[in-house]
Amino acid sequence: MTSEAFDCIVIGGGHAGAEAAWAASRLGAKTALVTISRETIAKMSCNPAIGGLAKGQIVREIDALGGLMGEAIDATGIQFRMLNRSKGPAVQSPRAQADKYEYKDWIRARLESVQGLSIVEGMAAEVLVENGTVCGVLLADGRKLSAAAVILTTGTFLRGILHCGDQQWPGGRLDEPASNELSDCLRRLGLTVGRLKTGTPARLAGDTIDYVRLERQDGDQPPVPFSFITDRIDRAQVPCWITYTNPQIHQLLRDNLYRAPLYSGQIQSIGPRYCPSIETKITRFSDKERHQVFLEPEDRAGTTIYCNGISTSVPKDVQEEMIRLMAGTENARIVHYAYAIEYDYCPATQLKINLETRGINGLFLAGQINGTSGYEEAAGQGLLAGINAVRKLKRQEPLVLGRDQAYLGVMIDDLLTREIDEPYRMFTSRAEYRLSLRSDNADQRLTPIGRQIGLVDERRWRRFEAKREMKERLRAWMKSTRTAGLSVWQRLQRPDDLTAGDWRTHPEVAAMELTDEAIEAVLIEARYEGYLGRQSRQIEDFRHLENIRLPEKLDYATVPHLRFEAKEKLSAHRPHNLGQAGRIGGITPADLMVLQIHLRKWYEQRMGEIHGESTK
Amino acid sequence: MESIDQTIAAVCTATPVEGTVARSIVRISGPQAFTIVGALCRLKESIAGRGITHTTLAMNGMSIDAMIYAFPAPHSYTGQDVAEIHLQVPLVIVHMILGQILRRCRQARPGEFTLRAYLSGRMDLTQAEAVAQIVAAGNRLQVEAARRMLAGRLSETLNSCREELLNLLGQIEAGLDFSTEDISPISMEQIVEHITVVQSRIECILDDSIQDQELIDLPSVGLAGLPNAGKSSLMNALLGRPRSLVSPTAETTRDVLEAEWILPHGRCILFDCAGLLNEHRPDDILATMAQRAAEEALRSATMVLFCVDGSKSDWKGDLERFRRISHAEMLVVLTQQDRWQQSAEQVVIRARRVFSRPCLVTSAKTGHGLDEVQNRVDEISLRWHWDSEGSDQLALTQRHRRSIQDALMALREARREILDKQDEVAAMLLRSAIEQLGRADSDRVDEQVLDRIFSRFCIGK
Repeated sequence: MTSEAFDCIVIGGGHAGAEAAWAASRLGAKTALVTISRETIAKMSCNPAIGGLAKGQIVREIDALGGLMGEAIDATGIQFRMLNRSKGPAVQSPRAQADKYEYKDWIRARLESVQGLSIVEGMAAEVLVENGTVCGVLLADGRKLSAAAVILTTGTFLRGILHCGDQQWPGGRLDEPASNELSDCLRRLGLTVGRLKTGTPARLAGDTIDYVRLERQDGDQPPVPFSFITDRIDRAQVPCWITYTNPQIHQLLRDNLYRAPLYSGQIQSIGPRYCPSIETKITRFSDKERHQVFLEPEDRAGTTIYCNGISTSVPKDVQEEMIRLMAGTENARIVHYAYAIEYDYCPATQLKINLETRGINGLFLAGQINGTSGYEEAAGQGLLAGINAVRKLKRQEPLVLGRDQAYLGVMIDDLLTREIDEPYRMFTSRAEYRLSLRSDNADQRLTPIGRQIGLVDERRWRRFEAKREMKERLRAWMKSTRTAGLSVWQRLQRPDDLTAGDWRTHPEVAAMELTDEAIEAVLIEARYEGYLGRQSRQIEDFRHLENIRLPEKLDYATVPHLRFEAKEKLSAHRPHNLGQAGRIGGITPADLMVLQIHLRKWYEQRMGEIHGESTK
Repeated sequence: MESIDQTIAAVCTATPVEGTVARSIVRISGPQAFTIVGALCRLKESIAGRGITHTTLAMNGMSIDAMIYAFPAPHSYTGQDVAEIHLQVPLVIVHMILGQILRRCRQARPGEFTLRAYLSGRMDLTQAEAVAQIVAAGNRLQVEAARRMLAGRLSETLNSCREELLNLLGQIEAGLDFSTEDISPISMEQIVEHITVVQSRIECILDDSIQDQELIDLPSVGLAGLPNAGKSSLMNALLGRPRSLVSPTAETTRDVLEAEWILPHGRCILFDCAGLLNEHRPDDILATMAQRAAEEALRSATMVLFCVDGSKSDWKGDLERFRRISHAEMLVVLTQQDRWQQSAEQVVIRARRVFSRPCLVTSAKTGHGLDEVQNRVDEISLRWHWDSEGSDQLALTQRHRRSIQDALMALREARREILDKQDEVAAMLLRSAIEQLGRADSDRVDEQVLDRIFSRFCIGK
């Protein structure tokens, strides 16, 4: 059978796959997105929401680089809220409920509009590899696609097993088949495969809920957009609703705990601590009398409702009883039952810094397959994998974001340097340079990079430059305008200076015609200035080691004076640079010094060899 | 490991005795080297172009002669700007000067000057192996020193402070990262209270323990002898101030008392033990404990001054005791010369025959012979410094002190930021305090914080 030729193939059309396919094709690679059905591209298989604490920052970063997620949620969101409004700007994050049907349609339409991107409906069965290098993909129906780069974004599909009470059946998601062949193929290719667990709660029919009895939660007015190129969001918003579990429900769950696969031993793999099932919550925090449950509409009309807070693996009859016992949902009809899912993942310590596997040239992994959780985390990896696959094809240096540059950088670095034992989710506390990595300045941090690599279009770039220019003007004015011996800028650094607000009404400021976004950005800079200065010194030190590359071919076993443990750890992780090496558990500062000495020797010997060859 | 762009300093020599005074060199390397030395010596002009400068340093009211050598980059040992301060003063003063310098730069790690020399191309390739060996050896030394510190009371306190701060940070972070969850995070008042408690504990450490710790890294000289051999009086006389309770009743010194003794070329710890008892008295628990403490201290001492009452006619008991101690570095000090009946020569001859060791004649009352004792101890102490690379061990404690001061500073700022409702800034400062109090190997603070959040709060709506 003849094979269709592409530059890059993305397997899986979830949030990682969509960004990967978008980035690769926009950067000029002839790309195929292989998905079981084009209808499920960018499907929200769990929570119908985008953003949240730390995740909102990631969405802004994806957007700043030229990715899809920010624009998609701005276009299809039905309720927007800025979280942590009462706290400092570094920990504020946008979050929005999506109309999940509009969301996936929007992404699909955007992908369909890209020249050079083919959506191939089918199931991938095998990654084709020749001499350690990827050459294409074999589909289950026998079709062959060829490409020098393949990006796997398979989500929970690899040997997925769904659990609902004592029932268990293979599947990638509800009513979708699992991918066993591909999982076997990865093992054959020599990748280490582990197993993780996650779950999703029940969905209720919206018209069977008694909303009058529930607490109501509305969106912000006006809503703050995610994307730096969205002017404003005008569409009407819909509320979410809050109810609570109660002691009767807890008793019911306790009585039926033996029927929950998480407790009966039917599920062995580890689930996330930050997203426990309701049976885990009542067991671990038995003194808590009630747990919050957010009822979130999955579409604008509220046809189906997502029960945020009661994901579970108990059988259907217990789920029905639980819903019947909860205020406001006594008569609600369950449309989809909650289930738990176990799936294969490949520990990301097997990856290079560009998300390519070390063992197989040209094979990239992104999203849940790397052991992460969340649409945003997946999308971010997808975007970087897409960018780096193309950069590899074009023989360009990989795009590497540092821990000091982006949450995306923190995430990739964490994945590469630490062993995970639960699905990895981003938290703002993971970022040591959190004050610098804010949702408000993601564009300042990343849009120039996106522009340089070719993913930021003219429109976004012009907008970015305009904002930058406004900020510069305002900053200059604030620093040069003084009242009572202090500049406006200085006053802004004192949280208790009541006169600091007056400048907004100053005629000179009004004449500058600034956007709120630009004003806000400058205010935050002023507020954090002292600490940002201190942090930037820390970052300089951090950068020094990040900039010392470790050669891919370096044989750690032969480095003299390196401790045995260090040799083992470094050989297993093969860090990209000295900084990363230092973050691997068990590596000491002295190991780094020894390594640094050897490194220079290594390079000098190499130079000598190359020089010797060329003069022969 | 930090950047090579940072300025580093260390005492890098203790050259052998020239005449009677040791020469020490404090070396500073990095972009700030000249500025730091200039400020230290209050020089108006930069030392950069001057080669050698003869100047005086003001230190705690003393005027200290110093030669400053300036080696501008790249023509220096490390290839960076290097300043050297050459001093002919006791080591204790050298370390005070280093302490001043370390306010503006950081302590060099073992082998770090050499590493820089290598990295800047000042050493050739064949020397690489040797350098790596130095670094690896330096690391072992540090590990050994760190191990000793970690076993101590100081590290216990520091670890418990660190634990407490981790718990606190966990609660603050829960309020930042999980504010949408149904959890009740810690109040501002509680945070401030916690910080204040840890702050005062650390302040106590700085006041006491660090000094204890520094003292451990000095040579120690133990006073031994039978009860009422005049040890306490001798100690007071040597130090020039009363340290232990002295009385004519035997066995007035119960505990091991110690004090810092400033010698002509350094410092040491002089300690005075409980009188060593000849008869075993199992009923007197206090006496048994005192004896055990005394033996413990003497065993680990650098040197023992064995005190013998010269006015006694029979030293049988003294000799028995003397033999049981059998320390390699033991000096017999004949005390209370002011009360002797015989001439000093006669007593010394008799004592030499009995103890077969050098014997010195002293009187705490008149001060006779005290200088001689001091000079002998000074000699041994200097040898100890060179033998044991004492400066490296001191350096470790300097570094610790610096870290603890930084941690304290971060806590003070964190407290202020909490009151200003800037929890995210306070969290950054607490994190830096935790890192300062932590060990050299990089424990991942974020994971530890998350562990605490998940074990305390029900997260996951």
